[in-house]
Amino acid sequence: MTNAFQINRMVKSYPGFQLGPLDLALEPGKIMGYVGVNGAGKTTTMYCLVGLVRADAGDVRIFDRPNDLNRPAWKLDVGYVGDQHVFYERWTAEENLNFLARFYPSWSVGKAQDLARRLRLPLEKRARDLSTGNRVKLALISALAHSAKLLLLDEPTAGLDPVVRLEVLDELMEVIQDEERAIFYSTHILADIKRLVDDLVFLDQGRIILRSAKDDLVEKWRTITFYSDRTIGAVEAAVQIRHEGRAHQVISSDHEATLAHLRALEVEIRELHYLPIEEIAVQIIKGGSHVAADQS
Amino acid sequence: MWPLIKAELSYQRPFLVTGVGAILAILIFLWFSPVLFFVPEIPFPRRISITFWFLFWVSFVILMNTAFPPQGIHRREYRNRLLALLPVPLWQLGILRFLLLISAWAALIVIFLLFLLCAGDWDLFWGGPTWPQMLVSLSGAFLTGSAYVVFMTDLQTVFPKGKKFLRLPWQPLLNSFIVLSTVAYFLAVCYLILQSSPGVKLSIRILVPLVAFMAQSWDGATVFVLTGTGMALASVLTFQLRRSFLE
Repeated sequence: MTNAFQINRMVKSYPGFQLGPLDLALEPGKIMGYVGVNGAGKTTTMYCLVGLVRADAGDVRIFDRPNDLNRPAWKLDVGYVGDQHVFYERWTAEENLNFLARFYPSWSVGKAQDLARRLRLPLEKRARDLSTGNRVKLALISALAHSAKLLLLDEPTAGLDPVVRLEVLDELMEVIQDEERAIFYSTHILADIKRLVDDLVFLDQGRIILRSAKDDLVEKWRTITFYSDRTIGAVEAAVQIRHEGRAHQVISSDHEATLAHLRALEVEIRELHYLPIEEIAVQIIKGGSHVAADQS
Repeated sequence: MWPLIKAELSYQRPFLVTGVGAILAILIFLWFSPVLFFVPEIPFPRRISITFWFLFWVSFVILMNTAFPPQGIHRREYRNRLLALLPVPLWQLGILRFLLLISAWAALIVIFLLFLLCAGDWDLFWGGPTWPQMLVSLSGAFLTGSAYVVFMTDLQTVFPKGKKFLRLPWQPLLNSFIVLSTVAYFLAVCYLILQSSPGVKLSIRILVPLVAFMAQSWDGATVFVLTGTGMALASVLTFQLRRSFLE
């Protein structure tokens, strides 16, 4: 099966920071969340994928074609919304879309107009006069109107106020669920995409610390409350332990291992709760490779 | 590549119209002032000299604007970041960048030659001592300068710290220079034409050593043009070697 993208041993270095060596692949039709704190290397990964920045080593393939900038047919399959939205500023939104349409044979004017209507984007306004939210919408339409098979979204809602962010996200969710496409969505706010993603990749200081199916994470992680008169030391797979008198609460990255350990200690287990995926993500990011290692 | 050229020219139309309009106004003044403004005719050699300095100044402004794009007045547009995402081969973007840069100069030369033709001074110009050679040399120098500027821009993506050095504090100084020299040029041209010739003589005396550096033979002009062409081709290559298209 041809992957939507395949990154092999990719390295990109800046003074004081190195991304990689990175190995990552996204299967067609899958939606992958790329999660990490600011500065983890998410945007650099995106830049390398779309060719805005050249990697120092390794290779990147989009639908099995190298992302060679002199053989750009692979770009026809890619829609990208970056961290900055670049347009011809004195042109209207519509003129910008018309300009892009000339380069994509599969561009649909009808679809672009439909998206603009759904997102309530004023097409007649000049790009420089658009609000930040509307610039994001224009960038999204630019990425979606040619029915790209791979959508690369780099924190598209960053910098938006909460109301506009939710509005854009709701529309985006609806729009991208209409068609089958691979989506690589980078964010540090997992709440934005928790409804969408199949897989999650966690990035920390330029390295992938964990890749897992979202459902597997939700299934494995639990909050366990138990009572014990004894002092409780280290607990198997515990990411965090809180003590309050006899009551102890453990956040476990592998509840079966934790429960087995606790049963061996003959403690009284009272409650077992699922953890929301955003809380799991926070724990993984906070714990870094130490926590992530328990997941593999 | 044609859609890109068309789009860029259409996008820059307001500036091109304004710029070409201003240049036309100056050239009309220089070449037809006796007819239109009832002032004494400027002798042909002086007119050519002033025009050449005007062309030289325009080329300098174009190059400076390319090397240090104005910030603050207009939003920086990060054109490479937009164009590099399009399904267009990189070498075409490299050529486009250069063509757009020299297109303004090419238009200027065409306009100048048309003025020569219209003013009936064609034979004087081509029969003159070194004027055609100087025009070709100037064009070659502009070609070389343009290639150098874009070459240096490409180099900055390899050494990003150099960019900071080049931008600060030189850019505000150069921008101020461009604005002030524009005003000064207009004032000087008006003064020289409308008042008297001693000013022209003085300016020539000051400028002659500089003019002497320019090639005044076909050999020199050829070297300028060949160097410029070679560097232009090299700049298309360096564009493809860039490590980043974020600027």
